[in-house]
Amino acid sequence: MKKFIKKLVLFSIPLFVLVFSTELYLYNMKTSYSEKIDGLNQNKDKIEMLVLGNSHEAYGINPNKLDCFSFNLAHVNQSLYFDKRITLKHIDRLPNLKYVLIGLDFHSLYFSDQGIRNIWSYYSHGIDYNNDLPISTKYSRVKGYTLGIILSFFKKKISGRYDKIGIVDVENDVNLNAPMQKGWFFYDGINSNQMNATNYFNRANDFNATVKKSNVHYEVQKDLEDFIIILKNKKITPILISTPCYSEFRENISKEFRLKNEIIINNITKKYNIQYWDFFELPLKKSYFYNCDHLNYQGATFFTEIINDKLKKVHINIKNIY
Amino acid sequence: MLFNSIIFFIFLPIVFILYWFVVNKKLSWQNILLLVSSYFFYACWDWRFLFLLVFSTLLDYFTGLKMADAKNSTVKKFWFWLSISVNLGFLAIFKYCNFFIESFAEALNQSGVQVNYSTLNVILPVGISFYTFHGLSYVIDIYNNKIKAEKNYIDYAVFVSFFPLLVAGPIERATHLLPQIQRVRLFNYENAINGLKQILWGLFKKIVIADQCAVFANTIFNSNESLSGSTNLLGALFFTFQIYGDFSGYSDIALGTARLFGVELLQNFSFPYFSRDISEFWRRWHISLSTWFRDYLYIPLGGSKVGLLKKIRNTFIIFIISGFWHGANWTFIFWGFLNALYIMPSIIFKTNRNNLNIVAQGKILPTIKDFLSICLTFLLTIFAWVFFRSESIGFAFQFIGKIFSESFFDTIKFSGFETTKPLFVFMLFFVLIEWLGRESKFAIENFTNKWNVWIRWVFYYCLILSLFYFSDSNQQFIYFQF
Repeated sequence: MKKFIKKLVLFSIPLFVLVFSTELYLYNMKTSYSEKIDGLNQNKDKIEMLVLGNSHEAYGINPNKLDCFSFNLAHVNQSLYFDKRITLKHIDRLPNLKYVLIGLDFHSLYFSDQGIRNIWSYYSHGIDYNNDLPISTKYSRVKGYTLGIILSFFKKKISGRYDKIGIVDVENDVNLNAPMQKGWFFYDGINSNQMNATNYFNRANDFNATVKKSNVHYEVQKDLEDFIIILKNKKITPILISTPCYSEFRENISKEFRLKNEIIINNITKKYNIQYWDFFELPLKKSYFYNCDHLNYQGATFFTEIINDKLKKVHINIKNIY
Repeated sequence: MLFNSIIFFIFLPIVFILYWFVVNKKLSWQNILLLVSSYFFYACWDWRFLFLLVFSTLLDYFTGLKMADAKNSTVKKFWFWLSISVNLGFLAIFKYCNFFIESFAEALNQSGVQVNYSTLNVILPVGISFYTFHGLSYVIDIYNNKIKAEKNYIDYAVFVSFFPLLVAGPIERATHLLPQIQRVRLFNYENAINGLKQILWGLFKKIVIADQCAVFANTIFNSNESLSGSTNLLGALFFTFQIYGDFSGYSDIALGTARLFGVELLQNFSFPYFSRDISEFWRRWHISLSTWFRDYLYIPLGGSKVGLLKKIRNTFIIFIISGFWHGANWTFIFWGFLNALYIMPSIIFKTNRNNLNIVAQGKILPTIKDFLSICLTFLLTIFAWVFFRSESIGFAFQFIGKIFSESFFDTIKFSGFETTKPLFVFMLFFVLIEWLGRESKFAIENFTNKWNVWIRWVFYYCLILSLFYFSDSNQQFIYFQF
């Protein structure tokens, strides 16, 4: 028995050291999530507007081009479920918050689970999707990474790339050299491999399928309405927004779903007297897109200037109201 | 309590320490500890059903004693049938009642008689099929004078409820397990190390292979109509790996855990996917159930010592009942029927005992003939599993029909396909290790012993880290529902 216990302890020590050091390394590694939360904490007293949403808003709205002090809290695949809870988690620490720009794309009302990124929302904001995360996941950073990323840490070249800013699982062309400002990171250039008819069709099909298969539509809508009510009660103006997509891609998005979506959003805007800025069909030149549904640096900057102009008008109106 | 849950890995060391360091002085204390731990293990799932387990144990214990004391065969027969009826009655109520009600109502509806019916709102108690079969084998063996009735209730209760085998087997026999419970168990270093290795391999099968394959198998089975034939075939392949990893993984964890307590359970799987024909497959798959049916049903029906027609009849009976044992659904019955069909040629041509040895024994590679036989058997198995996985026979036929459609030649595509690459690597690794270890009781039992200790440890570390990495999905063991 003594031999058994001794061997077991000896065997466990290297394993424990390996797991502990890996966890510690990953825990201290900066990620886009930790950068955003750090930025939010540093600027909490200045922030006047929060940008929420998924990758369309995360890449597509450049807060540095907005006159009011804005912070981009949108993230890849971030659902309205998390938009609401992230905002509510931090709202009381943001004394100057006046506007919340809520990304509402054609599929936003139809999904809520973020897949692997649920873990990251937990790490950064402590939000546990439907209280469903296993305990081991909550306390293990390894769980937040794909196997590919974990293995890539062993390759110097790639780990160097992640060391710059440490953005986890973002696409290759995201610029990791530029520091993240006001929560914004962006795509450089255009991905010509993705700008073709087949890709437009496949990508649109994925979105159409998300809408078609969705069984969370009613609860997401209810959650959004609840979010709007809370914001209005706190005298914060919610604005719904959808970002531009490339024209040929748009044609593949189900018209039926779009119409249905429009009716729902119009009902919400009327019911709560809020604005919906629908830029989905905003005609933009091809060079403004990184791929069919994401703006690149130039596109985001141009688009944000348009938002800024609209926001100025809202600001004047709001001033008159309050 | 699941074997792949954190609570089990707190529970197991506590019981292990108490067993070998606190109550090790006396056998009866050790058995009481095992019984209490087993009841706690079961109660973690649903404490209310613990009463059912205790009742079933008490019933078989007392009927065993009554049969032993019976002065004549009529009294003995009475107690025997009482035990059989009550045991099967529980099984019928909890597992099959709704199936019979629905099937009967559907049959009436088909014949034009409209009936309104309601089903029982009952939960299937975990492991009921397993512990019922433990009890049945005990009672039948006493009735047939193969064993004597156990007088010590604790010993008998440990035989029925020993926690490693309580909820999903292997289905033990009193002749094999009871003597081990009754004799002093001494700690054996080699045995304990092998037990840990078997637990590790079982967890790898369950967490890395079965649970990951389950994700993709579910995706494909849930949206099979819109997917290509080749994708559907891949879905069936994923399920084939899932069911093996899941069930044999559970058995490995059970056997390994039992070894830590000095108990040797029956081997339940012996590399079935390397079988060269269906008969061999059934000698290697869920061995404890196959042999149970062989000993308590097939042989009493005449076994193989009857004419060909009766032998065919007996084979169909065994396989159909075996299918029905798995669940109250026509798909399981059809799965059993299909396996009986598969095995028919070997029954008719008396080739069912052709492959009794281990494939390519002592060699690295099989012969071309063996390789092709393995592939063919594996392919037949894949198609049978489609029925096992499907919700209805119609769905299974539609699924298989899709595989054989023109779209079989289309490229494989489904949501998440791009993320399957690591899984394919693990599956390949798994098959390789299973092949290398096929002459042992479990894959990593012996062949790693030849390695340098550091290489061996690195190998185990890699397995443990892969468990750690993939341990999220936490899917239930499929065989819990049986």
